[in-house]
Amino acid sequence: MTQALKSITIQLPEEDFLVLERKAQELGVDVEIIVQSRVHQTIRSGEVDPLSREAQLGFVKFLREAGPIFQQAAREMNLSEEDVLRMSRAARREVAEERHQARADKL
Amino acid sequence: MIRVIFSDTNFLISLFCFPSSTTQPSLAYEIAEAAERREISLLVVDVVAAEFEKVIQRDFLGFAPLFEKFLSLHNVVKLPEPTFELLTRAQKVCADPNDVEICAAAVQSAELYKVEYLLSNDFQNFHTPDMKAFLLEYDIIPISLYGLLKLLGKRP
Repeated sequence: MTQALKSITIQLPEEDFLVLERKAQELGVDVEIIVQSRVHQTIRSGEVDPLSREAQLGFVKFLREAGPIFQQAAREMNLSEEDVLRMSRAARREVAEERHQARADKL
Repeated sequence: MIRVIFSDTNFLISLFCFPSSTTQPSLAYEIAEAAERREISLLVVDVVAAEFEKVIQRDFLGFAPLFEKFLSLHNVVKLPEPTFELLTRAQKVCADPNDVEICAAAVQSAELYKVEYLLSNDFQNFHTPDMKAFLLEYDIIPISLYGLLKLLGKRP
């Protein structure tokens, strides 16, 4: 079979990435999955006061829903508080580099 | 008056990964409950949310929809671009240059949202004498999870 398709960009929910990745592995096709940042696209700045009761309750509501799911994953990964610090430091380095680069690009 | 708390990334991750120990809520969860009772307000800024997102992308693959929901339920604050002067000042007190963005964001949050405390258990980088002195100039105090619960009268 001729491989005419070299690159394609599609948007999928992340759970579908996993299906796509598995299927690609079955077919022996190389797939590079790039998860793009969603933070800046989703921030609802200015809509609700971030310190309002609504925003704070939203935070806790989410925690009650997602906490057990995260906790289960953390348990399976055998995560410790030290791991949490290590993970946040690694993310910090990455975000700092991106912001630094974005500033340099602007200049 | 409700105290406004700047949430660092390690607090957020702890909150989600360790909402409870086997028998009782974790320190992080107790802090979230204090927010629910309006004893404090937790502020999450864009740079912290971006770090949290990175952690999810790298270590919790498949959890992106949950993160999206977090963004939709909790209003993450988009801060303005920090000034060169602020970044330069922050750079002088940060043991690790990668902390400059967070340090600057905390200062901006103090000015814009009256943040009083920077909540972080990163003792090595955010509880140093230099960092404390710098943040104090803007009326911000770095505080640990346990320290905040003490402040709220929930620990002796």
